[in-house]
Amino acid sequence: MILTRASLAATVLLSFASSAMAKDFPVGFFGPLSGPAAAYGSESLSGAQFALEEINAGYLGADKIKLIPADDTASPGVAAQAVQRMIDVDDVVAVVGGSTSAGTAAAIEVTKEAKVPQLSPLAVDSALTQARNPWFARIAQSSTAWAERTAEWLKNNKGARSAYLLARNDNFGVPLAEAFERKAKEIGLELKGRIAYEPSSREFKPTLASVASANPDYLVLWGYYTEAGLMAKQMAEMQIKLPFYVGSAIGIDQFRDIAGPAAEGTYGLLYYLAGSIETDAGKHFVQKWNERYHRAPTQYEGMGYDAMYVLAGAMKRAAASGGVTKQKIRDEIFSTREFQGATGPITILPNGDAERPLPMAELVGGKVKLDTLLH
Amino acid sequence: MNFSLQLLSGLAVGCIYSLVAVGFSMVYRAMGLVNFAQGDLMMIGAFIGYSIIVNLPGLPFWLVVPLAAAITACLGYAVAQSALWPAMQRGASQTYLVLLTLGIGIILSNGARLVWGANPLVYPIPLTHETLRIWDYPVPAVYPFIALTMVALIAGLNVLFTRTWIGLSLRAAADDAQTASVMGVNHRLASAISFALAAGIGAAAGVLYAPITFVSADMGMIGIKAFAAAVLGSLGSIPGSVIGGFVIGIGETLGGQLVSSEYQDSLAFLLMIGILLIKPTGLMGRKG
Repeated sequence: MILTRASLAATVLLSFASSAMAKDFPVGFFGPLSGPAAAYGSESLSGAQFALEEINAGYLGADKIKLIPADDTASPGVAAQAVQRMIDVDDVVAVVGGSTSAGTAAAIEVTKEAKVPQLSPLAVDSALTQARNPWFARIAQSSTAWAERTAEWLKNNKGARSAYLLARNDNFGVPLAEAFERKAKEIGLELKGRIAYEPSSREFKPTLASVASANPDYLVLWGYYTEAGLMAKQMAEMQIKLPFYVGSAIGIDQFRDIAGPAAEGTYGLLYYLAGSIETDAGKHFVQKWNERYHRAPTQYEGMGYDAMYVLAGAMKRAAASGGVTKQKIRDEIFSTREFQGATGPITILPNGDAERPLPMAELVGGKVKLDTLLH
Repeated sequence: MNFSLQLLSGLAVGCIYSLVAVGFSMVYRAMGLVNFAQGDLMMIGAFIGYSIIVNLPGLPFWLVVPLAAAITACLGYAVAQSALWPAMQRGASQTYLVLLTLGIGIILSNGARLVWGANPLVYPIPLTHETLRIWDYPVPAVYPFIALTMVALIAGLNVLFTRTWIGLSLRAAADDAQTASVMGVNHRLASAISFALAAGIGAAAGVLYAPITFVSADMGMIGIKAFAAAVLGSLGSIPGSVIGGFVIGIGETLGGQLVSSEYQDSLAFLLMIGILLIKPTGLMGRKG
């Protein structure tokens, strides 16, 4: 009896001691939560918060992560300010973000200077990792990988002989277009034209008229979902019938709303497609998300979820090897190999890029269907 | 066929620019003020139109336009009475007033995000995606609405300003506030009514533009092109604003196809600069 009481008291004391030693680690999150690119930021934030609930339920033992979100409105200046504030005021140990290449490019200058690890769920611009910034990594593939796989898929899987390229004239669209053009030349896919359009455009009919007159096998767009939706809609209005590759827009509800019936039959390479990953982690995520929201997770929600888990995994390994510091979190992020994420196995390469499977999909009957999982 | 489609498209977009530009000119004439919130009032009108469509399903689209315009006009009236007139009464400089309208625009834009959310919204009506065939050309079904509303609004404004006491009072107050007040015209009320009318016309443009694209809080950016249209046609001139809107709309659409679609937006402003270099007072401006 005395022994039982003593062991109970010891357990209580230990639990007090462990909770006294437990820490809340502040982690910043930034991305566009408003404006025309809001879906990228708000959905990846939802995924990150969903992961955080699981992580804070014991993944890090008694330690917890406290997420500090900020809206960068897709503006590089706002992104840099938000990240600077997180570092100065909230003393974050790491930053998850951004969700656009422009915002991320501005923020990495701040995190590099402050030596705070930054992990982006969505930014794809190849230039972000070319400088081999030791404090920046991402779980999204680079624009080069996206563009090259798309060109190869068009040529090898669809038998396309030519394509016309439209790209948003910024550091999202231009690097993708350049990488696509290089690969197209290499594999013998004829480019019948390339236009870089103004990001603020809403009227694409003159551009689409140029595309129609060139009569390519496929129209390939590297732009945002709002532009993809308007282009699909305006093509239908002009009665231009061309197979249309719209990138990750295919997985976004607003693209389908804007394009209407014209969205049918479009193709796109997604960051992630729920149901395409057959691993335990992939199935667990979709099942839990369905239980909560009664729908499948979107690609950005999946990426936000995995970004948070890759970071938490790095923090867990850092804790096991002596303590959670910014330097150790950084080291562990860069040592991530075959991490069993919900969006597929993730490996962070030495330059901060990632290797992951990419699902190519088609919109059929209003539903996004897997065409091919590209590795 | 492509040329005809581009021309129709340019005319439709030109109508939208014209309507917003008319708002710029009305406020400028009545209050001597460049209202940079005009584009944001258009955006608010488009969002109000969305709420009307969602909450009153089945209401004909031609009724949505005046309803959204009337609600936005009330908002415009409140803005003029509560923010602009007091500032003008205190003798605020033009710089201050322009900054004030910019601030009002930002508040309206952020307010729209709070009320309607950050994601773009699409009018859930068949008109958004339907096309008609006119002389065998496929034309978005909203184009006839745009054309008819444009004609009705311009005709209505003409009647208002030439045949009605209230319209003549507004013109009198705009031309010579002191003399008009001696004749019993309340300058403050006249200014607020002009601002409200401009807001309502902007809202009508927003509701008509929404089915062509979508509604979002940054939709007010169109105000920059509309301002260019108003300046091009001579700021303060309603016929000039209408012509300026068409010049910019058709110019950027046809220029985009004939010159370079990569610089479509820049072409509109190049056109404005070119015309103003030749005629610095604008298309409808008079010397002196």
